Amino acid sequence: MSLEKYRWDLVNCERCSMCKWVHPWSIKSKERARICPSMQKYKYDAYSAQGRFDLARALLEGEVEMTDKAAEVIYTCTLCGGCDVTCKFTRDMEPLEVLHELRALAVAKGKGPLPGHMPAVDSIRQNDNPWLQPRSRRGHWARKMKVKDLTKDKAEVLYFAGCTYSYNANLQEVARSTLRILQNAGVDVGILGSSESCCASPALKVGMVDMFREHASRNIKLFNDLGVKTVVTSCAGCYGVLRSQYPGVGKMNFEVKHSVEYFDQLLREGKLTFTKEVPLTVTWHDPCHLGRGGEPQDIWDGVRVKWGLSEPPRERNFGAKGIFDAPRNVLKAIPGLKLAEMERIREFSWCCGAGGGVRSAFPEFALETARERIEEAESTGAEALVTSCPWCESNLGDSINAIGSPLKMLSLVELVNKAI
Amino acid sequence: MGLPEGAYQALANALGAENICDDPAVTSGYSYMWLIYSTHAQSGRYRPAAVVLPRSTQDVQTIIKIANRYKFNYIPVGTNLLPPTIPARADTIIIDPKRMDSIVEIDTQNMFAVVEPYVTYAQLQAEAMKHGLTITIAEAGAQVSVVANNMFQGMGGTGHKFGYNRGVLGCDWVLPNGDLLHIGSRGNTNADWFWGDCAGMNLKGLLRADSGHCGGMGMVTRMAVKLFPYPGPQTFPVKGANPNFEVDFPKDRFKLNLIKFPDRKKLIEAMYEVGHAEIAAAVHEEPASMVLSGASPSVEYFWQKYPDFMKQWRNVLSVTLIGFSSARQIAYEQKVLDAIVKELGGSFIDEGSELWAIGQDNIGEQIRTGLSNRLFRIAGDFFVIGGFGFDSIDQSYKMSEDYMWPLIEQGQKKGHFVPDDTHNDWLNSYQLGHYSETEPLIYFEHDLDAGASFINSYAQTVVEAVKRRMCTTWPLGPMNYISGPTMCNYHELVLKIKKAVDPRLTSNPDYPVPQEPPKG
Repeated sequence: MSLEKYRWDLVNCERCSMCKWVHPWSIKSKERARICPSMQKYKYDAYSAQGRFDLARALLEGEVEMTDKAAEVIYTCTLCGGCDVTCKFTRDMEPLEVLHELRALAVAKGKGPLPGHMPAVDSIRQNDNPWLQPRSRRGHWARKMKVKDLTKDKAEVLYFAGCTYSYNANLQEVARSTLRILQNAGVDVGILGSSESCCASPALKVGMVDMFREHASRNIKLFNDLGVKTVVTSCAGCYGVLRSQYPGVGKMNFEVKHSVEYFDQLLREGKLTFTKEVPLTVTWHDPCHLGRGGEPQDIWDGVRVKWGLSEPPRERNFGAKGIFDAPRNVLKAIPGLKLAEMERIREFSWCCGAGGGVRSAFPEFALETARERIEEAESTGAEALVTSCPWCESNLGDSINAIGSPLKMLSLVELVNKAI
Repeated sequence: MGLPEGAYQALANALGAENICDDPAVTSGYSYMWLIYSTHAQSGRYRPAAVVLPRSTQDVQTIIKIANRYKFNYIPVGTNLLPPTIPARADTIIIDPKRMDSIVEIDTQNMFAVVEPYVTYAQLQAEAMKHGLTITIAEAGAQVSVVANNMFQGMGGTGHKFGYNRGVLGCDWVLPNGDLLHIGSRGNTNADWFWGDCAGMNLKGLLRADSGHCGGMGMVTRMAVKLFPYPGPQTFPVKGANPNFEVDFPKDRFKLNLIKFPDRKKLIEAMYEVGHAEIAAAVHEEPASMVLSGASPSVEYFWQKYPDFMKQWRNVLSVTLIGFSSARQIAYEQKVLDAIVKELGGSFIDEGSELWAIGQDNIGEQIRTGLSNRLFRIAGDFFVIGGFGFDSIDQSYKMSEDYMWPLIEQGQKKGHFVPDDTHNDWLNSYQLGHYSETEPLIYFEHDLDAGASFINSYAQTVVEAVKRRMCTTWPLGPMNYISGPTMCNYHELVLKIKKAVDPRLTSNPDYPVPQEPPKG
């Protein structure tokens, strides 16, 4: 879809400002009322969904040009989808899709991606990963493990490690632990090793739609050909794109699950049990692409008719059907562990600041956004901040170090490991 | 056209380069909104020449003094919801208070709070509730600015009990020449913020009068607002997940009644009786379109339900009881209400019925407005025919029946306004029924034809009101030239006041009254 497809949305935004805030009924304090990191950082309305709607309308109507500044306004957004959730409570509009379309337009006009994005984009093109790492090293994280290689064997479940868990030495243990837990629970699981390829979420996020579709098509075909029933990933970024964007690219003969969902399922089936106490107070950070962004999308191609009705009727995403309960169920099942919730949770979670290419192009903005989350986490009295996304973990972890917070940054799988 | 030479640099020097921007990619975000086809049809709309982000009262004074020195216009905004904040002239800057977002003080003993312009109602109420206090919240939504809304009208869901336009106490007001004026008790030596008046002459009436000046007379940078007792939980009791939230107030202290009456006259009588009995916190006639939009998670849902719902939901009065002092207060007020309803032939909508399910969140809406923006969902744009009718309850009713609904029907026949044959307004009781405001709501598509239809009907209702010597209000800037001549030429006095405080006419020049009457 092009931006033109969203003209009704663009001209009908009444600028109620709901996109800037948590829904009023869910606001618990003055300090934790905002939902848009971009608005918080840059202040001008242009850096909200409402302002970007105005920019998009002005671009469509030729009132402004796609300039470097316009590109900056477009890319200083984490694509966290907070605006999408609160706007949709009120209106039948698609802020997140418009934000994506603006990036595609920036690319078409030669203003995107930004220089800060290019190393990752080029690396995806050349190496099938955004981390400038050779393809040949992709499977090294599992080289000491005994695991099915699905390029040779068959299994019911593909564990898709994703680029960050595959290459980042500090995070590889997450992939190994997850795989080990699945194996110990008797899951028939395998990996692709060096044949695994980037999900291309980073390309989509910076507006490289063709590159994304090419990778997505290739991955869908590969997964279909493997004959797996389920693709499991521990990366919220991969999960979000596999779950919400891939269905728009091709038919998928497999289901997609995040590892926390799978752990929750194994707990309920009695295939995973916790026997050891973990005496710790923790708080859970809902990653945007696992939570509100983890909701399946309605692939809609229609028009707006009289009174703004959608023809054919469209199912809207309200962000509440993402993966929120599974990680909480797992944490609550760990003996001795206490879960202390932050104010902004579930569909109204505050973003970690890393998404949408912000961490690579606007690192200071990414860290400031993370800092706000760290302060929110500290206010719960928790000793550790837990999540299940490599981007969140890296960015929040960096912020903890930068501000000298006493919080520990943990991946959920680490706690699961301690409890087994 | 941009700012006069040197003006941008002067502003940048004063505020820091990062707190001013004139790039079209940024200023576009302040150039468009609802009703724009209607309100800016004559002037056209403009991108602001720049947007500035002050941090303090002193910053605002500096900006305004620079505007006077270099002769350009400025529009102070809050959360920026109303069309008068969109420039109708080229050489205009926006003063955006996003960096002025502090709750300066909550005085729990004297029950008031002091806020800066970018504090929203939801933020203030969330903090006030922790102290057992609350505030009546703008019907425009809890996401709007406390200061801006109180500068406009300050009306809210619980205005039946908490009053209309009575919440403003001491203020810091930067006048259009850049001078700082303290009003209310803030104006007395060593006085605090606690009182809306002061010893000696008080200029509070100039600050707002009936319905504000839409940024036409400088900028209020700090405002003290009255808080009221709140006997509920410390956090707003919401359940469920987006978009299906429910509110869950303790039943012994909060009670919603939805009551159907045989006709509007009986409903109006009941509003009076509830006022006479001095019971209830919120009393509203609630039209079908509004109630259903509040319960609609999508436009498709609304239109699927609307035809049947419109037949069933007629002449419904919403009465929210709050036991401020005790649970026994609720029990007493409910008995009184039961007697009134029985005497006037009304019937309570059963809890558990389908109608109740659709209307039940009305209690949350009265205490923290969270549904009202869903009115836009119905057709794209909406407003109130003829502005608002402010008068006694029966006069509001008469205005709406005599000439507002006939005009609505004309717009419906043209296909511009959403069909509605209920003749039910959103009619609100204030100050225990001593005052009221009626809003016959119309919904239309956001386009030129419907916008023109709306604005013609709007102007006509102002004309009809003044012919009948009734009180209609909130005539937008130029509309004052229609109502003024039949009301003692009040618009000339308002213009004189504006010129006295804003001799260069730099503060949103067309508000509250433009220098020249509109063309045509």
